[in-house]
Formats: sequence, C-alpha cells, structure tokens
Amino acid sequence: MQKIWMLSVATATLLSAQEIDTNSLQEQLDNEKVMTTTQSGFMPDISLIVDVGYTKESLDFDDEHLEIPGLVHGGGDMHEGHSHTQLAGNDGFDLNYAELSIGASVDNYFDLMSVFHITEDDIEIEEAYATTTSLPYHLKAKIGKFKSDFGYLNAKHAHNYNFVESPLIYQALLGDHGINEKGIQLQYIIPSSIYMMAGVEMLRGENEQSFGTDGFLDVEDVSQPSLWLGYLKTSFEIAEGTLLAGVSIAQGESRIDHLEDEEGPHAFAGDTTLYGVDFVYKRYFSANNAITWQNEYIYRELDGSQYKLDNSSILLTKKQAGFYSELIYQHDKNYRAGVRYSAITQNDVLANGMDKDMTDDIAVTSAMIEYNFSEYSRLRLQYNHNGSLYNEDGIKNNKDEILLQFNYSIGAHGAHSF
Amino acid sequence: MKQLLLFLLLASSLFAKLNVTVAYPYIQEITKSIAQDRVKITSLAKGNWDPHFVVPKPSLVAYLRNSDLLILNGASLEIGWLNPLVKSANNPAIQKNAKGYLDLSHYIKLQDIPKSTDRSMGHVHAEGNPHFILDPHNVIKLGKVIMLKLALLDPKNQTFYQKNYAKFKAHWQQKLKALDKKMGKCRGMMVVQYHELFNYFLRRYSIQSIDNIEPLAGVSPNPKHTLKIIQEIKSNDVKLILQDVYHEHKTSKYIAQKTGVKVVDLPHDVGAMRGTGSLDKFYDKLVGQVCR
Repeated sequence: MQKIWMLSVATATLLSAQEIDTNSLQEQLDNEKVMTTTQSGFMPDISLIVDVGYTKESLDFDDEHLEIPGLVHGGGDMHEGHSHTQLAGNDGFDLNYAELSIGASVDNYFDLMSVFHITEDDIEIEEAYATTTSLPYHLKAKIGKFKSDFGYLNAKHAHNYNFVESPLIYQALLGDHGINEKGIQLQYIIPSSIYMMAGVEMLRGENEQSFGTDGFLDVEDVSQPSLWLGYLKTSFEIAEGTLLAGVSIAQGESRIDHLEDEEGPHAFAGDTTLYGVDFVYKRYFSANNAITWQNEYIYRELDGSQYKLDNSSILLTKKQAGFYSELIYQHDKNYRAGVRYSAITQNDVLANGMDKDMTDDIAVTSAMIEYNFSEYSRLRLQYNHNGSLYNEDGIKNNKDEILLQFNYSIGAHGAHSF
Repeated sequence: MKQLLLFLLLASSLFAKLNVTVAYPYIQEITKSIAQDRVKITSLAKGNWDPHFVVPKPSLVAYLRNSDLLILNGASLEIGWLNPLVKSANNPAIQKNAKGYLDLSHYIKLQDIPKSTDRSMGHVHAEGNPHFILDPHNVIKLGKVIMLKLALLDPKNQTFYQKNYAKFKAHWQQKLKALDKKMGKCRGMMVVQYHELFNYFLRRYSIQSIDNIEPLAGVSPNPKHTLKIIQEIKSNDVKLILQDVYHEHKTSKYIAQKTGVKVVDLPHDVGAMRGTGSLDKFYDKLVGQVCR
C-alpha cells in the first residue's frame, strides 16, 4: 500500500514538473512567432463558378420522342420545377450553371460546407453539410445534404469532370445529379501502411432514376431512412503511378412515379440495389504532364411492380449494367485532351417473367481538348457520338454533337482531392 | 504482476516514437538534425517536384493518419494540395491549429507581401512570398521552432532535442559565415529568374532580379513578354538567367540563345537536383551555381 502511495506521489511530482516545462516551452514557441498581415478573420471561403456552353447537334432523322430503352424516357424531364438537359434539342448558347460555394470551420468540432447550384431561373442547395474534425478512432462523420462517395465520379462537382457531362452509365442509372441526398455518412481510415477507407451512408433516397420516396395510387411512402450505402476504397503505387480503386454497394426502396406522363403513364415500386467497381490510375511524368485512366462499372438490379393509372400491376425486374472508361492526357499547364467510351453492357427487362428483349446496343463516344488559360479559366471543345437514343418504334437515332464549354472560377475554392 | 504491467506501460511509452510528417524535404532535413532517430519522419513531397502542385495521392493519407505532428511550410504554398489530404486523414491531432500542427511561415518575417490581391495579378499569395527557405539565414530559426515543438510533444526527449539544436545552431553559424563570404563577391549582380522563387536568396546577398520569365506568378510565358525580357537583358548588365528544375526550360534557353547570357539550374529544395542531398549541400549548390 505504501509503495503505491509513494509511486503516485512520485508520478504526480513528475507530471507537475512536466506541466511547468510544457507551459514554458509553449511560451518560448509563441515568442518565436512573427506577426504577419492580419488575415480576414471570420470571413468564410467563398467561390463562384460560372459555366457557359454552346451546342451544335445533328440527328439521323427528326424525332421529338427519344429515349434510352429501358433506362431513360421522355425528352426534357421536369422535376422539382426545373428542367434538365434534354436528350436532344439543346442547340445554341446556354448558361449551363453557376455554382456558389461557401465554407468555413464552425468551431473546433465541425467544418461547414455549402454548395448552391444555380440555373437561370432556379437555385438549389446541392450540398449543405457539416463534417466532424475531431472524432476519435480515425472516424469522420458528415451530416446534411451531400454527394455520396459511391463510386469515384459521384462525389465530384460538374466543373471537376473531364468532360462536359457525366458519362452515360451515370445519367442512365442515377440522373444528372448522381446520388445527392440528405442523410449521414461515417468513414473510417483502416490502420494499415496502405490507404484503406471504409464508409457507410444512411440516406433519404430521393434519387429519381433508381430510388424515390413518395408513394402513389395505393402504394405507401418508403420507410425512412430508405437508402443504405457501403464502400471500401484503397490506393497504392503501381508502375510509378498511383492507383485508386473501390467497390460500392447501394440498396434502397424505390418509388418511381411517371403517372403524369402524357404517353404510357406508369409507376414503379420495389427494391433496387446498385453495385459499383471503380479504378483510377494516374501517372505524373512531371508536375504538369500526366496521364489519367479512369474507369467505373455499375450494375443495377431493380425488383418490384409496375403500376398503371387503373392501379393494375405487373411484376417488373430490371438487370442492367454499364461502364465508362476515359483516358486523359495532360500535356502541360495549359493543354489537356481525352477520350471517353461509355456503354450499356446489359439491359435485361423482365415483365411478369417475360424478357422484353431490350436492346443493349447503347453507347456514347466522346473526345475533348481543353485549353486552361490559368487554374481559374478553361475553354473545352468536345465531340460526342451518341448512339444511345432510340425512337418509340425502337429505331436508333444517332446524335452527333459539338460542344464548346467556358468555365470560370473566382474566389477561394478549396483544393480538389485526387 | 501489477508492477510488471506498470513497468511495461512505462517502458512502452518511453520507447514509442513520435510520428512526424512534413510537407517538404528541407523540413525533413532540419527535423532529422534535431530529432535524429528518436522520431519517424516522412516527407509528403519530393525535392524535384513543383512545391505548389503536389499530387494529393490518397496513399499519403496513410502517413497522415498515424502522424502525431505535421510540419508544413505555410504561407499558402500547400494551398493547392495539402488540405484535402489532412481532412481525409481523420486524425484530430494534426488538424489546423491543433497541437500537432506546425506552420513554419508563422515564425518567419515574410517578404513580397502584396498591398492588394487580385487574380489578375496571377497566383499571388496574400501572406507574402512563401519560398523563405531559399534564405539560409532562416535555417537556425526554423531549427529552434521545430526543436521547441518536438520538445512540447515529446517531453521525455526534451534535453536530447535541446542538445542537438545547440549543435545544429553552432554548425549553421559557421556555415552561414562561409556562405556569406562566398557570396560577397557577387553583390550587386543582375539576374533574371523564372518565378519569384529565389527572392529571399537574392535579397539576402543583394543580387538584383530585374524581371521574371513568367509574366505573372503561375502564368506561362508568352512571346511578347519573352521579347521584353530579351530587351531588358540587352540594355542591362544581366549576368545569369536563374532556372528552377520544375518549370519548362525552353523559354530560358531561347532567351540565352538570343542574348548570350548563361542559364543556370538552381535547386529550390533539398533533393531538387543532383548533389543537393542534404541541407548543407543544397545551399552549397545554390551558392556555387549563382556565384562561381
């Protein structure tokens, strides 16, 4: 007993001695500080990106009713009161979007980030979330509305894409905004000498192409939270370059309501699972001379019932998959060029167990060259050969288009990740 | 049994090495002089890379995850790459302003502080020119700051760090005398440089840089500006064109061809080129290339 007493007294003395020492060291360190210009104290980082485009397109034959069979139908979908890029008929100059982002530390526990996606007559909160900065055990949480870390491209913003638009497989399965949802995310960096990250997300599940939350007819709303995601990512050096690879899964209930369509109104209720595999390889020959090879494959299984306005239903199963692969060469600080091929590889649609014989001859080929005046302004010229569009009679209508894109950024915009 | 456990606990805490991650090789060299083998040091960037544009490889996150201390250059030199890495390391110890976060630029009197900043002026740093390591007279100060930080985080090795710092300081006091002596005969020399990378070095030794090959910081050279440089070189007594290792060499070679003025390659960090493997050799090379 006495021994323990003595030991604790000794420890206490040692600790308090260290305490004094630490204080004086901190004081010495603070004394070394040189006061430089005062930074704009509590001003958050604010940036604005403006994206202007010009499109010239030509179709094999004139037709207003185009669709990607079994995947996307109806030109110029309206949702939440704003129109999206139509499958055809986008000729001329356009203000693609403006993106306003504001972010700063909230306190020593959270950072806050918000991104406003602004189109000509609409403003949307694309992202608004807090991230933790001091969770223990190498954990990090995100709370709010954010772009999911499913796959590779999903979390990136449009101005960070290598091409004007997201690839066909993303547009077909996830729409223009990808998985961009309200909910929470938890990520863990696995202790290892190589980078390994595991993450889970619990989301509302409003994605209009694969999920959706609101019931229709006699079908009830989904139970919340509806969409669950998990992924594992790793990165290591290989052949003097860096490989980043990941696998992802997303599972949720679906309520896809097209009952207000003029032609063939219908709606779907069921369960959907997405599986994704991605890998990106970058090799830098010097600071501004590099190649990037970026690939993603996504498989979707949709299982449920399709309803008509009279509440009659049939069983519907969709097993669809596709990929994109893009190769980008950065010549120097100013010039970059690249090609992308994106295709649907599987398009099995079964109605009441009967195969509807959907075509899987669906692909888009793109090529682009860009000139970066500086880090903050870019001019991109892109050519697309779009072989994904069909008319209502199932006849392919090839679209060729030339796109010109001007992208400008001002203000303090945070550095981009890999 | 309990005593054994206590002993083991004490012993393991005594031998647990501090994990230090630094942004650039020069910081690694200074830290190594102070801490020697008592800490584990990793540098995120390599010496021959453009310090403004380090590729934010996720593999670097693996180092940051386990770091007790992150030492960076600061003054926005890392603005284009470090923050996303630190944020995704999920390590509270090295987040901005945490105990294990040391921004060296806070301890140096920065130069070239712009009166106003606007992007039409190119890639300017509001805090001032971040390339302060080019002045060898900053080395002792940086060593002291790093020593104090290490001692704070790792008090059991405090005397060891202090002792090494004393040696470091004595060595550099001698070294600076030798460097200053060598540079003495080049005072007043006129040069042209590519980027405002060597200002601290040039000012220290009263060498006058009359213009930069890039028209604005971070903006690639253009023919009009290059012709202006050629004229300036011809009408002034310019002795050297200072070229760094990571920018293109074509423009400076062209200017040299048109004017007959010599181009010299200069290191901007430890390991930037052959024969710059240590801090001493880095400054020797710098001095040797500019003032023969």
